[in-house]
Amino acid sequence: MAKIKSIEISGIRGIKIPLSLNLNKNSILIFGENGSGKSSLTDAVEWYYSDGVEHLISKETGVTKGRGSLRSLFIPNNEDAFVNIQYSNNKLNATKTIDSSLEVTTSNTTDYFKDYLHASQSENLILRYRDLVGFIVARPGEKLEKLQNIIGFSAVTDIRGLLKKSAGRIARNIRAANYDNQKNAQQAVVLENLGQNAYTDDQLFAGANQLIKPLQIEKDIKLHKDIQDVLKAIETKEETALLEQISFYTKVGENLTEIIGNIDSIHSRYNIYHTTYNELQKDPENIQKLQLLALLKEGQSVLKNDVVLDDYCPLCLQEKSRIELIIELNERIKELEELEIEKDKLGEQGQKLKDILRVNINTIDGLLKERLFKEETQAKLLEKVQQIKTSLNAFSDELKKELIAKDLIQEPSKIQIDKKDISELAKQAQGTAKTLTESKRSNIKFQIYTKLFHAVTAYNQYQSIKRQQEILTKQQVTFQLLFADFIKRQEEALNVFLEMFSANIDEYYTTMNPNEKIEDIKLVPIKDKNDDLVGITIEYSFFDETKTPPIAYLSESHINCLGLSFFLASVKAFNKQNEFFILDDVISSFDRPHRSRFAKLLTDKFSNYQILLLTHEQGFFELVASDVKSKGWLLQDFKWSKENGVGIVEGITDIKERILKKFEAKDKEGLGNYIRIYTEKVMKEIAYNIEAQVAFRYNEINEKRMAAELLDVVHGRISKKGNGLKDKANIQKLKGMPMFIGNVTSHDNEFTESIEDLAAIWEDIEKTIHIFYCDGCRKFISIKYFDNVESKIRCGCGKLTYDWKK
Amino acid sequence: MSNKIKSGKQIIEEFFAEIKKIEGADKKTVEILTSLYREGKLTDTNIQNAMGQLFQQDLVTKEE
Repeated sequence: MAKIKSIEISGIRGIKIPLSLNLNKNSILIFGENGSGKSSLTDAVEWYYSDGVEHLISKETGVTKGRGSLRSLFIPNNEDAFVNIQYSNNKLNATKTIDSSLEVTTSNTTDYFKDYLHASQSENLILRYRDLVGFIVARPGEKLEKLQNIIGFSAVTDIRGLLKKSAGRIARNIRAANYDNQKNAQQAVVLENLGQNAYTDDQLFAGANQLIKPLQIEKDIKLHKDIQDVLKAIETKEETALLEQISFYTKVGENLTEIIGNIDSIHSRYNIYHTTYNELQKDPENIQKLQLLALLKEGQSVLKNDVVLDDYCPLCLQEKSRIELIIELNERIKELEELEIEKDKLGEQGQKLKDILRVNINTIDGLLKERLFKEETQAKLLEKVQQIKTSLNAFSDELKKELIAKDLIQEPSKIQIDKKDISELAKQAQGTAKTLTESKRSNIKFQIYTKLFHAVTAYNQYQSIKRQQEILTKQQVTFQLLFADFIKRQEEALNVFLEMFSANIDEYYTTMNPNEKIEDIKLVPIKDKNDDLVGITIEYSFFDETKTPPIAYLSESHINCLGLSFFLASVKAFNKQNEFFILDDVISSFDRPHRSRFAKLLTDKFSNYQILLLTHEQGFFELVASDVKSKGWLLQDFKWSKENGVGIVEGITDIKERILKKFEAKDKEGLGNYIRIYTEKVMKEIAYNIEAQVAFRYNEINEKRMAAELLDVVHGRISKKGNGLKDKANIQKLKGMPMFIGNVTSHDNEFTESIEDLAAIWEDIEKTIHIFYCDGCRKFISIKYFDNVESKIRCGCGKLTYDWKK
Repeated sequence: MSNKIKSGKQIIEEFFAEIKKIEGADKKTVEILTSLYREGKLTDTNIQNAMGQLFQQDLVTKEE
């Protein structure tokens, strides 16, 4: 798993000049006041991994995914902004660059790196304060979705949805086609022409043999081919027009019979739809609530997408905590959920009606294509058939009406399809077909031909419809079986996950909140009445009583603890590529004991991980700095200046390295200033270790002690306590140097130096420092190593030892 | 902890590896779904189209 050796960032957000963090795989605690640019580091890493910055996306339009706000406005157009990360595995080292046209390039183009980056995108690498409680305050359905995304179950949910949708769609198609009704219509034609029903070939052949008996042809029908042979043998070319007419009326009768079989179903589905629609519409509050629901959901999305970051309501502009607002919105949405379920039910009822209407309108459209409808003699029949289509369309029009727009829909009695009329029409058509057939009573051959032809056509239709029904039913059953098997697998896996994941959340939470009566924190799946998994809720035991959801009982600080525990459990469970993570200002709402236990949790339970812990709270920084430092963490301050943007407050070693490099390059630019800063820092350490006292100042000003003042107090202290140390250190000589006589910034100093002057000054400073600092044990002489018997002060190893008065 | 947990990908892979063993499921439908998944084309539209084609094929086969 990857850890970070170093990060270098330039031109991103508040970072103008390159900012380097040499981590060497260590964890780091970073302090920076608000606005110092800590989050520039987090944004840069988020962009590096995900190509966008979530909280910047809402500030932009288009598809730039926050990149427009990512590049610092203060860097010139010809300069690229970049993030360079060096990893413990150097095959991953890469620089990601964004130019002024927002074009992004990555230096590492290997598949190895691409795979790593892709896999890292689903890992939990960054947690910001604003995202801390996202999961905890989310609604159950959102919790399920979020969790499934984190654990890579979103693809599982997609496939589950596809299987369910496919099974549902096929079932709906089967219902809408009303195959049994279609089969009955065909059997009615068979019965009419054959004098008996025919459900099997044998029944058809037996009926056909009976029908052709009067022809006295010596033919025993045993196969379908035999029927075709008989039809061919008795076909009379002269009666084609009559036959077309008989076929036409037979089809009209058959199609209308089919429609008649669906009318009751259309009416009853419309009745159900009408009842639900009116129930919802009856109470005007429902409409208002549905409109409100749309608004609340929009508001929730505004808050979650960080369109509003500060603690105020975006509608009324009153001050209100963002978390409280989200919780309140969730509760109000939950109250309206029942109404939403009713609205969804209405949608489903409408869809069922639409499906059956579609099938019947298609039947009518097919019928209207019959050639004979173009003849004037059929005008009346055409009009009647078109009227049926109009009455079917009337239902479709009602379904288009909007509940929220307060549209009224027709009473069921007002748009009834006249079943009696259509039955009459069907009977007339069947009667006409029969009459036409019998009009050639003397022509037995013609009569038998017509009857056999129509019986066979209807039988084949019947078989075809039966096959369609069988095939679709087989598909539907298959999808149902696959769905059942799939949800079993999904639920088993989810339960295993929830059980183990809950145990980790519980462990982390109780580590941060020991001796509280909150125990056994669990993530629990929620199912609906159809046994479908619809959400996840958080349960815990409080004084031995099960409570859910947590937000109603927990303080903001406890909710945040729960959020942190969730994130940390996710890191442990799912980060496979990366062994580091960033926590950006996550402890804002914690009190002192929580903060201390949180730091302990990180150092104890996540000691294998590299953690980048950012805070703007000096109190927290000071509280945990010594603890984490003893565990090998690095400490760092961030600062912001108008000239340089975000920068690092450098440590002594960094500054010394910079000074030596400048000497090597004979570059005197800024060198005097670095020497002064270095001397100030070292003198602070010396003053601290020998307990040289300076006048009291408040924190911020205390940080800005000048070299001259520090040199003075160190000189005063060693003059008083040290025996001969004063002469060795020769601080007076340093104090006389022009660069230390002046103000905080070297710009106020009139000293114009040459590189040789600076080298001489540097040599004297180094000599002085080495009186106090031991290269062997890398420690300053200190009061904590004071030998009370010998009255001597020394460094950690004793190589530097001086007399020191008690 | 993570060793006992199945990833989403594992669940799906296992499902498609064992899909043929599901009793009562139509073999052709199963084959179509498996090949759509393997080709990375398992979408609602593709399933709908493939099932439509299978319907037509089955209809022709039975009529023959």
